[in-house]
Amino acid sequence: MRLALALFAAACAALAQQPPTLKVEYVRVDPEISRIEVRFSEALEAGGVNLDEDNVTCAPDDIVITGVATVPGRSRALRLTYKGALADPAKLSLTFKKLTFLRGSAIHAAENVKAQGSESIEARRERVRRLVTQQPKPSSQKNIFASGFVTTASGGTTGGADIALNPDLGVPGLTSFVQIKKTTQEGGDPKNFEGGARYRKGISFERGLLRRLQTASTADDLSRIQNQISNSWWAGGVFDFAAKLEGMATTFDISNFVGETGFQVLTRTKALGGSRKGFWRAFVAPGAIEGGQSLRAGDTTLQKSGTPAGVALKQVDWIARYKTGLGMTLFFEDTEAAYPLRRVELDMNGVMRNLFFAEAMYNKQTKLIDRTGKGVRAYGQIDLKLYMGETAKARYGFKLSYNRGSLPPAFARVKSFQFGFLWESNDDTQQQ
Amino acid sequence: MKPTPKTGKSMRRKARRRARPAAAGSVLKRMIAAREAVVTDGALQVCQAVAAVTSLVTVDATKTPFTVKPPDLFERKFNDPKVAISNEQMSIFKDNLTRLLPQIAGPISQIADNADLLIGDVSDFVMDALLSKGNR
Repeated sequence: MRLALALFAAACAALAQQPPTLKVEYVRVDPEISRIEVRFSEALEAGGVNLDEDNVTCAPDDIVITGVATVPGRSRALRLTYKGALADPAKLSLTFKKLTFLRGSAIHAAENVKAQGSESIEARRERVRRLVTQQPKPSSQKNIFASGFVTTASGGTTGGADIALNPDLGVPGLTSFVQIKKTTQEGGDPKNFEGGARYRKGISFERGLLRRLQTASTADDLSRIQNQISNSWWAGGVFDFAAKLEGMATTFDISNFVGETGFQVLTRTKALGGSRKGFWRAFVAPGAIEGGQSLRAGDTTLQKSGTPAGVALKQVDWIARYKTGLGMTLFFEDTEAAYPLRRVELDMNGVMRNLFFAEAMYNKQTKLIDRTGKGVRAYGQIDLKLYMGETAKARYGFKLSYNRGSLPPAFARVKSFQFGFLWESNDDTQQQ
Repeated sequence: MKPTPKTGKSMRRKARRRARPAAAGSVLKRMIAAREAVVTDGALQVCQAVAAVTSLVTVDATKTPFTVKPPDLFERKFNDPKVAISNEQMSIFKDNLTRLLPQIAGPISQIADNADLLIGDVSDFVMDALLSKGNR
């Protein structure tokens, strides 16, 4: 028994002491420019890795390696140039005699590292095209807002959901969206559903400087333009055109078809203070117009009752709103911090609408749609995520959220404070 | 009286007038082509377009080859905290890239406004587009 335990311990110790290996993850071949890029599993030792052509042997024999270099922007890759005709990239075989690489701060060496070309150029182009044209997966899809509960200012708790999906429509700039903001707590439920299609077009504010950057001929010119760009605050503007169905989640007792056009100005992402441990970015949406028609404005029985509320609801028809808003994101991360707070994310967003025509609205007192209203309606949301720890696959912490105001189409007044445990996959920051 | 042959002064002047703009045009075209040939794989332009949106990324194009911070930029995603580009900012990044590489404006417009993309994949896509356009 003792012997078995000792053997097991020895095996574990041997495994733990096993030196890290360097694997080849991908070989990209570009015969048009006689170039091969080999991508490894670990970062190569910057400045120390052997870049001698004699360090590489290759097959087929009719190609000759003429140069080996590191790749700007890729710490885990080497670029090789070659002479000769390489008809089939799949037949390419490379062997690096010795390469030095980094695991943490330690330098390791790997010998006889073999790389094999595998993919045809057409297959690679199609794979890469599919990768970069896929639509976003919003953070709310990745979160499990576990044990989430809503607390209104007056007390009481219940469950909540905040869902956003962006299915792909396959047209550049055009995306579809579905957004539900719904909780079961009265006073904490915006009853907001929106679904539709949106076309987005970004306009850079650095167009002139980028054009000059292209034509700059001296190093002085280049650095001057680069400095000008890095000192600017505003990145650009985004035009949005959307057609959507608004519904009172989840009964659709109020529903509108609305077209929207708007413009927002975005700052560049700026470092938080002098350190690179955090950043902030913001946007201002000075103006947007929402216009459309009411499809349903409450219960038809009430509309036909002849009461003043019923008559007012029956008269609800056109939708016309002016919308303005702003928002800010702040992020700080210190993975080596001695204190338990490793990461902080703060999101603040506010939107204000002015309703030009009377619209059907939810009455908090009667819990019915028995009133109409117009004028200014605002909504603000502050989300704070505090991460206490991280594993290889996920990070965990708390989320605090404060919502106040009202959202279309029900304009149910909300004043709530949400608190929940957060378990989030960290694939957004994992390097590939 | 014999007709004047058509090789006189006026014809030579006309020929020169026709030749000058054509020659200047071809020189200009050659210069533009030479300039575009320097573009090579589009990696520098991708870095510059990213740096124009976020101050967390800096590019030094005065060196050959260029240098970029963070040095593993292409191995990160756009929404990585060391890059910090949002989905909304992606459309501005695409516009920046279109200004720098107008010859592949079509393929650039196909890139999703998705900050969850790997910057290296976008760089590969740009390189493929440039190579298929014959811009070497």
